Formats: sequence, structure tokens, C-alpha cells
Amino acid sequence: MPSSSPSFVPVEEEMRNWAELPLDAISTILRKLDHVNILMGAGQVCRSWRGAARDEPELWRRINMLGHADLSPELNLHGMAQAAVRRSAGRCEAFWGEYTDDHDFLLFLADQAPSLKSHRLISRYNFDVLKEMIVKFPLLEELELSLCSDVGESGVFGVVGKACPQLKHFRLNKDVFYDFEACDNDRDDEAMGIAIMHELRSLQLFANRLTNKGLTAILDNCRHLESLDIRHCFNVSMDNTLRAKCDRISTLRLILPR
Amino acid sequence: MATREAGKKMIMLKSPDGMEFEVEEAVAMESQTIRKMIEDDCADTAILIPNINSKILSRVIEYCNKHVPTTGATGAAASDTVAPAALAEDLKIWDAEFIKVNRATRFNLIQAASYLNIKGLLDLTSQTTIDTISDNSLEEIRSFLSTKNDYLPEEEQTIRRENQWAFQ
Repeated sequence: MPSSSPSFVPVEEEMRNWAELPLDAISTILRKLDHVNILMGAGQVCRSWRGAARDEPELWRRINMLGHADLSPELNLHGMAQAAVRRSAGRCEAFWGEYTDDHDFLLFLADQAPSLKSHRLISRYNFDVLKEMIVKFPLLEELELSLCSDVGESGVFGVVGKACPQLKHFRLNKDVFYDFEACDNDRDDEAMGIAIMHELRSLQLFANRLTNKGLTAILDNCRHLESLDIRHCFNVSMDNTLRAKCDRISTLRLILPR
Repeated sequence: MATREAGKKMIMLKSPDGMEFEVEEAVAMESQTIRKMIEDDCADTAILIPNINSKILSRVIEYCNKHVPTTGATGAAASDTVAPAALAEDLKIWDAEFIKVNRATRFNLIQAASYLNIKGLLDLTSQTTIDTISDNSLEEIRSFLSTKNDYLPEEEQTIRRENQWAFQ
């Protein structure tokens, strides 16, 4: 610290311009805001705050845009998400968003976030895009696909399982249980894909139409599974064999027909 | 050389408006900036703290006194008989009272916390700020921060281009 000639500035005036705060102080404030608020508000107010918001990739390493679905009619959320990802300068490790299911955006994310470890998408989405995107995320450890409709394309989760060998947490939540006429193989198609995610620690399958066969495949192949949530999976009938297999699961959640 | 008193090393802090504050070394070292100076042996005599006037410096010392993690502190926080959870709760209430200041004082506290590198104080002061700037319009935030749109016309254009998403 310079101990000579300090540049003492009188500080009594009430209207200090907060643009003059030191960069690390502005960054500390920005880090406490959520990303939508940074993009729409504080990160735009003036040059110094914009610089702090825009030129610090660390601020955008874990992008969380959840909790703003109410904005969607007014704004182009995909464009906003794209701006957030661009600011991460290739260092994005987590992207959480809702209604950011635009194909162009997801493919942009796939290209710009090679280190992605956590992806949560609360949105309807297209399985073709998912297949194309997921192979670009070899480090993925957490994947959530919620609010999807039940139109799974054959083999899609097998692709996910192969592309993401480190996947530890997977959530696949349908908006509603819907078991259209299908043979059991179709019902268990998603489960068979999930069964090759050998490193899974937690699995949430809400309203999935898997049967005992699919669940057995998962339990037999995902040996590290600690937490299993299969609420509203009405094709599963919890018999003694399944119960025995579930013995090692420490957290089990199910609402099944008796 | 700083004085020694009952095993507690004291440090003299000077504000640019001429006030002097004698504080325990442990309290002063809540500031990483001062800690580094002490560790680098640059703190033989009084340490001059530039840019932070006596009013703000005394409040910063008050904060550090309260937060210094030792039972020997002069602050009321430390006690052998109080459970850690109760102590944390007490600190939270104390912090909430401490930060009931006007905007200008908060600005100065943030600036001081940043310069002196006192993470807890920077967190406390900035948290209070974000509660007031979240979910507000640009103009409301500008008014709160007493700042204004200072972009050059060409910068405005760039921003407009970058923020296409907001205008669709």
C-alpha cells in the first residue's frame, strides 16, 4: 500500500456514483444476482458495470436461468441464453434453463460448452437435437430433461449413456403418465438406454412407462445407484424380486398401485 | 514497533483525515490487505489507510472487532459459554443492524471492504445492495446506483446489436 501522498477523497456527499466502485466490488455484487437479472438490469446500467458483467467468464461458468418462465412472451429467451453462453467464453460448466429448447440455441451450446458438466432443461425438446447435442458433452455428470412429452425416439438414451460415461445424476420427467398402446419393448426402450449409464448415483423417472423388466435392467447395471425416484411409473409392480434389488438403494421414492 | 499488552499485539491504523485507531493485530488482520502488510513486515509503525475516512474506518473496525474469530476479542461476540449456533445467530442479528445505513455510507463501506479485502463485509454490503436492484428496470437501478447511461453512441449501437434478444 502506498503510505505516502494518499489520494484522500471526501466521502460525505450523499450521491456517490456506484459506477466508480472498484471492479472486484462490482463483481461481488453481480455474482449474487441471477443471470437473467444481470443480462436485463445491473449488467447494462453503465460502462463499468457492463464491463464487469460482460468480460468476466467466471461469472458465466454456471448459468442458471431457471425461475423466469414468466418472461417468455416478452423476450427472446433463446437469444438471451445465447448471450449468457457467449460470455462464458468456452468455460461454461452448467447450463440450467427453461423454455430454452430452441434447436439453434442447443446446438450453439453444444459447440460453445465442451466442458459442460450439468445440463438442466425444463422444456419440451426434440430428441433428434438431443442426440446431436449430447455427443458434444463427454464430461456431463448431471442431466435433467423435464416437462418432456412422451414421444421418446428409439435408442436416444443409449446414445446419451454412451456419450456421457461420467453421468451420475439423471432426471427424465414427463409431464403426465401416458401409456399408449405399445409392446413392452417400446415401454422399456428408455430404461434400456438408461441401464448403460453405469456411473449413475441418482435417477429420477417421473411418469415413465417402463415395466419391471426395464427397472430390473437399470438396477442390475447401475450398481452405484443410491437414489431412485419412480413416482407415477404405473407399469411397475413392486414384487419381492424388485424389492430385494432395491434393498441397497438408500433413497427410494415411489407411488405405485398396490 | 507495535506494543504488546497482555499477550495481545496492537496495531495503529491511521485514516487520511488524521485520526488514529489502536486495534488488536488479530482484529486488523481480518483485512487481508493489512494481514499481508503485517506478514511482509511493512507494519512497523502506524499503517495509513488511504481513501477511507475516520467515520468509515471506525465502522470497519467495529465490524472486524465483532467478527474476529477468537475468544480473546474485546467484542461481545466471543464467549466460551455460548453455543456456536447461538453465536452465529447473534452475529446475523448484529450484521443486520450494522448494515442499516444510508446509501452513501453503504457505498463507502463496500469500497473500504474491497480495498481492505474483508470478504465478510464485502458480502454483507453487496447482499444488501442486490436485494434492491433485483427485478427492477434499468432506470430504477440507475437511479438507485446514482449512475447514468454513459455509453457513447457507437457503444449504444453495439449493445443494441448484442442485445437483439431483448428487442424481438
